[in-house]
Amino acid sequence: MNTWLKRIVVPFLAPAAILYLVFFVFPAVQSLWVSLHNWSGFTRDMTFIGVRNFTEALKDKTFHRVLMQSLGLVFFGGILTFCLSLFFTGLLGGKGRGKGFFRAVIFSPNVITMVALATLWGFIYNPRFGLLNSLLRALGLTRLAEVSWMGPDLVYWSILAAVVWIYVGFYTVLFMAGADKIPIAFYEAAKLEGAGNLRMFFTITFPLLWDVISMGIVYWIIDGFMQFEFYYAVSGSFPPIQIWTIPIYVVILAFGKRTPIYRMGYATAIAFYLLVIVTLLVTLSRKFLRRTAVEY
Amino acid sequence: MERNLETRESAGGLLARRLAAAVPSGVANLFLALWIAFTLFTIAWVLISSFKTNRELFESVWSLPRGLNVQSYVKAWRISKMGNYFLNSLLLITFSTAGIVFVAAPAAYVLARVAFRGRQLVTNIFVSGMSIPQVLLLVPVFMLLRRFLLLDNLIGVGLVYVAVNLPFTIFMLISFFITLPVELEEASAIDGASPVRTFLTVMLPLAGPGIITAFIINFIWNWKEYFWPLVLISSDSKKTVSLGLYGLQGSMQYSADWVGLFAGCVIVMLPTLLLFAVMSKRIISGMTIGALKG
Amino acid sequence: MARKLIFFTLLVSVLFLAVELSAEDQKGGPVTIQYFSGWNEGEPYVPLFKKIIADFEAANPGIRVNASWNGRENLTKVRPMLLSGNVPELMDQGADELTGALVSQDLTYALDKDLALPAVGSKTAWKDTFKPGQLDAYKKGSENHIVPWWIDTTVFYYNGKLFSQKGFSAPKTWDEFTTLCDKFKANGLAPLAQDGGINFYNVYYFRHLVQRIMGNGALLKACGDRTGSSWDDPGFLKAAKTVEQLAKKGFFIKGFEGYTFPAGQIDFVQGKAAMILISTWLPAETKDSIPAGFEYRSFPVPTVAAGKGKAADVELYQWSFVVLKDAPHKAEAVQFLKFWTQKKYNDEMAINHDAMIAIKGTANPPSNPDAAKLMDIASSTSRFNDGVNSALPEYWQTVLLPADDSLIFGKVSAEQFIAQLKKDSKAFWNK
Repeated sequence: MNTWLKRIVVPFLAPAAILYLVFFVFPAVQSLWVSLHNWSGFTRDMTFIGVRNFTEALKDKTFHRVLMQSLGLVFFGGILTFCLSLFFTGLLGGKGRGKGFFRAVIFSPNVITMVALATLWGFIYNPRFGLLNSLLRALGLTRLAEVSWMGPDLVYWSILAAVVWIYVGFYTVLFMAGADKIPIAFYEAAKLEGAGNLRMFFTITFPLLWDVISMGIVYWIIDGFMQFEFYYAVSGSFPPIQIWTIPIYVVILAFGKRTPIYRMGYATAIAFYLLVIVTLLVTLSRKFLRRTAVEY
Repeated sequence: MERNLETRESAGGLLARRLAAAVPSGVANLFLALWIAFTLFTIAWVLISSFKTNRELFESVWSLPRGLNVQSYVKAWRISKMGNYFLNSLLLITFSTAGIVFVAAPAAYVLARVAFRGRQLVTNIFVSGMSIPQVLLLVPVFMLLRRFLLLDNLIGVGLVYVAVNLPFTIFMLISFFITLPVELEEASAIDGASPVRTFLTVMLPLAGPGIITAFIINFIWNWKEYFWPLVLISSDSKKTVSLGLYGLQGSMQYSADWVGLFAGCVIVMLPTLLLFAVMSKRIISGMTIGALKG
Repeated sequence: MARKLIFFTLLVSVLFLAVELSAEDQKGGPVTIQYFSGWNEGEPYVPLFKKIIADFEAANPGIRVNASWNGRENLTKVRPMLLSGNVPELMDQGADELTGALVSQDLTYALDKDLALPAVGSKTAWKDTFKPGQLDAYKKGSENHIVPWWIDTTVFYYNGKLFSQKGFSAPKTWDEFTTLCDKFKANGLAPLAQDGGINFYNVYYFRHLVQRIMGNGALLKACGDRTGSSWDDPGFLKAAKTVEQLAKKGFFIKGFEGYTFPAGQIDFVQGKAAMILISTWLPAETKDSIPAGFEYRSFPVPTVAAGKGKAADVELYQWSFVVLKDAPHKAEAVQFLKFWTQKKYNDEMAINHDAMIAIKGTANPPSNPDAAKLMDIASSTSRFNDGVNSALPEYWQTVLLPADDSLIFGKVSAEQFIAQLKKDSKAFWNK
């Protein structure tokens, strides 16, 4: 049987393998080579400078700042997103009317293009006629309405809140799918003992979901460090340095935004550091979060 | 196993139980209701505001439009060229997504159902691509497309889309193919069909739901994104709709035409929202399939 | 079944390729020149530009103009085009930015020969149709690579109607200016509007105060000083202290640091603040948002007592065109530029969009009367931002602008600002 099938292995894999090698693997490997050069992207000459890009990045204050900001996003954003997602999972878990509808609504920001969401949130936070401030004014909270949500002090947290709102949808759905696999018998037994929704969550759902949660943590680490589209689009003209993520810094170095910079070798070196950081954190997470599987 | 569960329970469980007792169900449900209302409201608000005039919008952000001002859509579609970009996206995304599925399905099939040496390694190579930041590929892909003379060309973007979406799509389709009964190939072989024919006439139709899901998820994902068009496309006529919206947002600062911008947002949002509304179950299950393996 | 599928796929792929490729230039047939514009499609004056293009094509049936309205990030798109061998003929943007990104990189075509030839429909050499000094501002050595068109300077705008209602007149000295600000603040109106999100608008205050205190070129020299010791000159501290005072006294409208452009200038035209320091493209950008009776008036940056800068020292910003050296159809591109700079279009731009044009004899902009007069009596001109952003773009973006933002947002004192500049300058130049 298997030999009969083996005939198709190569032809069936070939197109995918070729495209993947040419447009993914080869570039990924070549990126290391590019980052050892100084290249403006304009002329054919790339000047070999060895590891100078990598050492410059270690001294680059902007890179340090952006790295801290990205780490903060992954850490604080992650905690907020996961708590909220688990909260909704607990609330919507099990049966319940309208569960499908609620789940779809919570998820919906994930199917909308980030530019549109960024436009929306830009408008929400607009100081003069934005939705948030006009709501606060209508509620009589005029002091709060004068807070500069997109000002240099708060913009980092304001945007973090928006990003959390988007991703809670994805992780809620993920956790709910995992929770759906927990035998209903557990919940029924708990209900007989008089446990409420939340209580059942903390004593049944959460522990049995741990595998999905730890996988979610890995996804979030990758997603969080790759954040670009929302951050890049949210401020209209030039993203303020307070919300730069590592990918934004890379793109600005490689292409500039209004002022052309074109330091392509250096940009790739920074991207390489990003890969190293993500791989490191993912590996560490997998190690520490693993535990023996719970059979049920 | 039992012991593990118990010790974990008592460790966090005590705190958890206290917390659970402290938060009444009512508050939790209220929070959920607010969240749902907020999400629905904001999306609806963009839609409603796109039908206002700029004057109405600045007079009061909450009011309903006085009439249905479709001028904003006409302007966005024709003058701001969102119509052109929409067409570009429609062609590009449809074809590249079809490409992704055409290429990923056979690969996923053999990786799922044919034992061969190195299968696990190949699978890992494909799937581990999901954790590579696309921004790392930025400069090398740029160089590559330049060499193929595919810079500022939607075909180049399409090829990149196929490549970067292979990891997830193959991952997802493997999960689908694995669930099909083992006997199918045997039965088909007995009937005298070739493996290719088996694949096309038996496996594909059965994995149909998975394939469709893969198509839709990739369609939505690629429709949404604007990173690759941002760095690879320079000419205005070749922009995709998400990139066009990004440009529209930039130019809106100079024209102060917020309602035009909202109309643009709706033009971009609508296809994916509609797809999602019709197929939400499928999409959600497809996206989470990987997490639930094993 | 499989055969049908393959056939269908091939057919559709061919159609797709046909659609895609037909978007490219046709070989043979009319010559197409590419114009990469720094304007955005939705800006109010773009319809006029489209008309110019249409008129040109009608008058020159063998030439087609393909315009890409790229917006202000125009310049970042040029290098991929250069790499893909598809070089656009024309680009436009501020002369300062064009110089920094293109002219200094030897990417542009010297226009001296074409400038010596007659302009469209006249016997005068094209170069003599420009106002005196305009072609000299951004020369590359002795060569002209830049064709300036829409020229601007930086002034304080105010609503003439508001001032006459309150009996105020335009201040001439900085002390008069601060007294005026105090009066507005006491009356409950924010004295100064500002788009805090635009860092190069924020630096206007420091840059112009330095000019008024120390004269032209002082800022450029200090930015280029590798030791950073130029910043010790007391003039810089005085300028910084003046900015600090504006921030401390709360003259800027509340919340301006978090503004997304164009909120600041909209605030101004809607009467939420009394004045705004901005360049003279303001009426063109905001005319659609003004209330009835609004009167655009302006005064030059007030002079500082015992300062070297005079009121007639005028900053010159030029929105200009360049022709790219490696483009295939340069001659047609130059033809197009000559066509563009004709009196009828200049006049239409000036009258409808209050633009000052670099060509002699252009009509006066109705909503920029004071600025036009100021340009005419200018005794000296300095480059936009004293030339810092065209000569030292990376320093500009990474050292000066961030430090200035902290100063104008009131986050640091003037002394701290100067110390920061010294420190960062040394680190930047000795990287």
